[in-house]
Amino acid sequence: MAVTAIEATIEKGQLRLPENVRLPERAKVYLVITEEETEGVELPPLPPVVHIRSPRFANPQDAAHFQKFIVTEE
Amino acid sequence: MPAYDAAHSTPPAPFALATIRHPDSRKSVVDVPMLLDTGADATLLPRAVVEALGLPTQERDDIRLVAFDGTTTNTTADRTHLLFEGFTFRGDFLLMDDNYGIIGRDILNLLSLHLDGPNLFWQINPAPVIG
Repeated sequence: MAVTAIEATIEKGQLRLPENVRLPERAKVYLVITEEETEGVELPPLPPVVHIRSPRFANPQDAAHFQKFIVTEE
Repeated sequence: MPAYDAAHSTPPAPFALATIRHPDSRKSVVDVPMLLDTGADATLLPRAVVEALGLPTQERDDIRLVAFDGTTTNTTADRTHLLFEGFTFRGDFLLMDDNYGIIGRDILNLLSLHLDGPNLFWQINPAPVIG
């Protein structure tokens, strides 16, 4: 699939192409919204954040460095 | 008995609300959510909490903690105090970039922990093993 990128604008809710660009009726286009133009745009929900858990030491010997001690509060 | 936390984890997971304390100034941040993670080799503190306390940190070239996706951490805050469920734990801690921390087996192996999944609560049994 050949892809050509052109800059267009939204005017009164309609996509307005540059005057020298002609596309066939019902042509499928892909819209890329730049970050500064997203104010007021309803974006799809973000995917859930994936938290990384259960980390392991690359070298198991390192665990000795992180030994904890229970201390008595004064 | 502390309840499982469904806000930070789906399905719900055992989280403790801990206090992180500077060992010298005694300045502390309370109610820090900490996941009780028996699969974690070590305890990790949220970096933002450590920075808020002004705890000195250091990058350790000789230490590398690896998550299952391959991300690593080697930043530590040394001589820090972590308090939860009436215990105060002292030692060196690794840092993580998240809005909660992880209590790993360096601490959990000092305690007798009861996880009641069906009823979504956990508790520390008395008489911890003190090494």
